Amino acid sequence: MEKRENFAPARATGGRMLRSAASDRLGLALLALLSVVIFAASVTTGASSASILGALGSLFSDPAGQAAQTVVRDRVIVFDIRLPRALLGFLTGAALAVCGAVMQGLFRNPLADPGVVGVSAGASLGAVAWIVLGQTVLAPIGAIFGIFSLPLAAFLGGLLVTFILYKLASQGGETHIGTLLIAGIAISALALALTGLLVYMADDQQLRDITFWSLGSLAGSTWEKAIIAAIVIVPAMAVVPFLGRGLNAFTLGEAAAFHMGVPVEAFKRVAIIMVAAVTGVSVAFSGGIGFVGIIVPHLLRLVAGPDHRFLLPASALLGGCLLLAADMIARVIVAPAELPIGILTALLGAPFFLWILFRGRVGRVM
Amino acid sequence: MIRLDKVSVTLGGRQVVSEASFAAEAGRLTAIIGPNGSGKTTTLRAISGDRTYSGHIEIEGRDLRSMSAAELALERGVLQQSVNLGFPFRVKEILEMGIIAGNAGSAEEAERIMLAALRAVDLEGFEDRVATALSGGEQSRMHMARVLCQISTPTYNGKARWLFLDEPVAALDVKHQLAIMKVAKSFADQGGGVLAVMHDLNLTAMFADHVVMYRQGRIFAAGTPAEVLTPSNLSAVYGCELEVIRDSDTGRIRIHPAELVA
Repeated sequence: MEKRENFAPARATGGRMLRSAASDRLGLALLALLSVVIFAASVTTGASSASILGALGSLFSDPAGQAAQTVVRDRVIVFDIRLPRALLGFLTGAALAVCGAVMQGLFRNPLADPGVVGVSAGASLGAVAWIVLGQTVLAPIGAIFGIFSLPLAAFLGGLLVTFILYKLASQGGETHIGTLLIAGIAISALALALTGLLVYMADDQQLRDITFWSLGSLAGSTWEKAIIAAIVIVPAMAVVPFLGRGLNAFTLGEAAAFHMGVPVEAFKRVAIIMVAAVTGVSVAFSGGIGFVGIIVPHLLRLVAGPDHRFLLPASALLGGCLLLAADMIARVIVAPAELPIGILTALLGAPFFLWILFRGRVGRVM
Repeated sequence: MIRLDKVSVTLGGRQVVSEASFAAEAGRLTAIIGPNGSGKTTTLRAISGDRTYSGHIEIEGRDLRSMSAAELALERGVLQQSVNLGFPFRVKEILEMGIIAGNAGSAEEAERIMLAALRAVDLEGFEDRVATALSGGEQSRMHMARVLCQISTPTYNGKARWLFLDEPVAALDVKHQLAIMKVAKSFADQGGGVLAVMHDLNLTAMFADHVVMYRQGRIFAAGTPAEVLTPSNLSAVYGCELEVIRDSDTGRIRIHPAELVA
């Protein structure tokens, strides 16, 4: 009976043509392990000396006196501040990286990003509109949604842009990627101009708020935000494994993808709506965090090739790790204050991006 | 069988194909010929499901409009005139896309199909090469191999499967032109159907069982190569004088320009 094992796995040893599922699984397992380590580190690291062990221990025993005060403080810091922040950070990083990878596959261009099709610009316009008009024209809305008005405005702005784009670019039941890209550039410009107009109208305090929001930060993370983000991002990430095969086929063009059995129109619709929703919610809660969506898929392509069946799930994990790592640095580098994370991702990301472009001229990436 | 009934295609306000009706049978290599802009490729694109058309197209008894992308992918493979690769996939990764589209059974089966396809297009040993670094002709052969991975058998569940080839040999040297035409011919000889847009009249005469000749969006003539490739048809369609030489022993046709360069 045991001998059977030796004869069965011809597919595991003999093949050199098919992509090895075993090595993909190993890669994803390593990234998952890295995610766990970075997540734990993120919950442990911070300006305060709060210890995760102390906080965990307090769940099982009930210390008294001086020790009790420290434990309660640690519990608040770990469970109410750091944990939702780590969760939101990981989700946002995963979302940004996957959206980048999906857009790049769809547009067949390694530089495509939700920023390119105008979703981010729309979300920014929504947020700035709220910051400037929230106390006056839009005040009744603020009364209903309270502290969630800003993220909601950003989310709606992103969604509105995507809707307009989609209407513009899809005529007669077909979506033209080229038109979408050009329309995205035009709509981005329009959104930026409108944002500029609002900035011109803003007072000093509002200008400060706009500046900080646009730099991007996870500092305002709460359980409510983390849960709302999870409600949007987790189902979207669950769709991702089903996009891999189709995006691979898209590499050869829309017609070839159709010839290979991809229901092209439905596929684009699902991908575009997913990107709009996920980008909207991440821009809403964490502002302008750039470069994650371009750097992460690039890096993975460099190591493992462009196959989206691996690239998409791996982008989710590495994107989460990267953003959490950046957030940790942002929190401790100028402690007890903290640096907006968007500055950090841009500072680290932009030179890295240029380096990849430079290498890409001779290598496999571009 | 592929059957077209009064198929018209309008592009940019101009009718590019007008009421084309013909049938292409399985077991034969059907060539579509005609000058540039005569509607050959547009017709093939309509049959591939890429262009909206008026009229009726039927593939193995089913209305093309009623078939899903996935159903079509099992029924026919399409070799386009040119494909621009978005990302630097390796040759074997491109071939695997064809395998997945064609639903090969086991992994061993898939490996066997991929190696056979590489051999058929003379790209053995190219599996780990980066596709974007291949020459134009090599890329064309690689895509042919991908199509052969998708449509790996000439028949499926007792029904003929189809290869739609848009200028399959345009980018190739003479040795590989012959090799690819032989692959297509043997696919047809084993019960599959081949529909190929061709420019090379000699290769058409050599390999086609049936020829459909286009002029200005309309079918000008259809029949066997001997019936269609006549000096009067050729000069009427291509607008230049061509000499058709028929070998009385073998029946083979050769076509030359009639006017000699001084």
